Amino acid sequence: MALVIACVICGTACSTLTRPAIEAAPGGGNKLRFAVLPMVNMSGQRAPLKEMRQSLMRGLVAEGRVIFDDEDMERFMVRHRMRYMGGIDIVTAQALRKEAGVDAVLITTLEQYADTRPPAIALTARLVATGDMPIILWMETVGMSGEDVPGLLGLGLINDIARLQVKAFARLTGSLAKFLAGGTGAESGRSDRRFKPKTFYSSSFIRPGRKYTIAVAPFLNRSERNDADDFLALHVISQLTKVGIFEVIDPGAVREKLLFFRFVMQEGLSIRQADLIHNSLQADFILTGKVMEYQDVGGTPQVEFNVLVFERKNKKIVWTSWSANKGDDGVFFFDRGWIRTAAAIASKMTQAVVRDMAARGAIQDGQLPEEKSSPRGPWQLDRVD
Amino acid sequence: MKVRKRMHILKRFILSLVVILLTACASTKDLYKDPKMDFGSIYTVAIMPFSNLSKEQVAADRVRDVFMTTLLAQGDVYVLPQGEVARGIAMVGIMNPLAPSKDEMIKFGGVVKVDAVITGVIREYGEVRSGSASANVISLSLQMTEVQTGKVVLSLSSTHGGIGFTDRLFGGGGEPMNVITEKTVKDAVNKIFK
Repeated sequence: MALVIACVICGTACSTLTRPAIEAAPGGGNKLRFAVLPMVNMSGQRAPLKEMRQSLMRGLVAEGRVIFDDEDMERFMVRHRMRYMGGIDIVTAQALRKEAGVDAVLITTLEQYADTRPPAIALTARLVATGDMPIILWMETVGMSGEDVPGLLGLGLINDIARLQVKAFARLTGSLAKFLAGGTGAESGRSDRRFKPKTFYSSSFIRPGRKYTIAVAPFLNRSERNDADDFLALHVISQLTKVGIFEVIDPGAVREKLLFFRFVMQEGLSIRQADLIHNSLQADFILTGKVMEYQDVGGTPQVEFNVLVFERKNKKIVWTSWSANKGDDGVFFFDRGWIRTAAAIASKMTQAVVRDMAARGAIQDGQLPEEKSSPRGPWQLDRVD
Repeated sequence: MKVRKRMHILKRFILSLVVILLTACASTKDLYKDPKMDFGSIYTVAIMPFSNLSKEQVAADRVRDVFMTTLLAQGDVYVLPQGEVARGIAMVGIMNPLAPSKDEMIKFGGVVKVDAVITGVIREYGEVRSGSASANVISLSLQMTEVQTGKVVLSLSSTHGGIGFTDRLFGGGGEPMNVITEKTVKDAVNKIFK
């Protein structure tokens, strides 16, 4: 009997420990078999999604990647009644691994598609591991405008959306190839000072050398742009995967939990809700936020948002920041440094937020985190509702 | 007789001068702090949704977010997450969260376990015009209520922006909204901890 109990405990432990991220070592990336989900269109415009997906898949096949057959994928989607393409939940991730033998899923989101002169395109792609927990292995966002690099006498202008599309896909597949060839996907370096958060609060919550699991809960959208909350969450996730400290749970799994618990978040997450998500996903942190402005059509692009991170251990906020920028911030001469798409600004702003969070949240040698970071008073106690 | 009259005029002149100088020394008070209150005993605060008297729809939300972050960044108090505040409001059944009654605040404080509740009003937010000149302006007022007694222990207001001399002379639209929002909120937070 004791042996059986021990086996059960070990089995449970193994199922939580065997994270696909560990199983799918980056070095073995060339052998990965992955499925490409239909593209999600959040641009608010008509876009040739099928053609774009086919073009992406052709590019991947040309690089020698093993792609899960399209017809088989459709049959799988019908069998499992997969309707949501913006993410992957735990049940689907397990089924994809067990039934279809797929190692990872490529999820692509179209954020902006403006077939105008000059054209603009913004895309986000992520590779999510299948198995017990859908962890994001790689993620990249690309935002481009035809007048990003006008060059001398406007020779660098791009007026054809097809050319811009090819360029955007090339950057995405290039980044993916780099990751699959053994890269970690982590990026370092200094973020642009112009896009740093205007105000922030940080406590010491990151131990050096440790990896944390983080779940990104949906942002609240107070802007006039539809789906701005989803874009911004994707930008934040993309930067979290690059900072090298976090294992990011796919937002599809978080969505599944929110639906399961029937959460209604009109003002953001409460501690009780955060606690339930923490425990159900075994996440160390939950990141959420609010988008106040996301202007990507007409005029100078503008983005404003705040970010909030909850810690599981102390049930408190460990990071909060407010960022607001325009495309022409810090531009003085000849439009040098002007950013033409909201996606590109959001990418730079979220990069600054995440890098600041990783740097300022790091526990220094000899620092006692509990004393330094804990709020005083009754908040330290476990609350009983 | 003549000397007496001159002395009388001089006295009057000096008196008027003193009155004028005293008036110049007067300041507009925009901060009230209960002198009996020990602000060091406030560890956790909840920020209620702000009331918005401006034309900008998201002004209250925007300023509340910035205020929350700035107050937390100050490091002296912990601020309850907005979702938790919303849960408390729903649990207590506060009819008007923008201006809760004394009893509601006391009850609310007990439910969410905070020491004080901050309510606020955005009086002005956005662009103001005067003739051909325009500039951004923000004006907010805040009140802090101690939840054990339901007494207002702090009240302040802060205003930044508006059309100044240089705006009238050179135009330019004044400072960006984000910059003056940040300035105003920092000013308000500094007044709390002054």
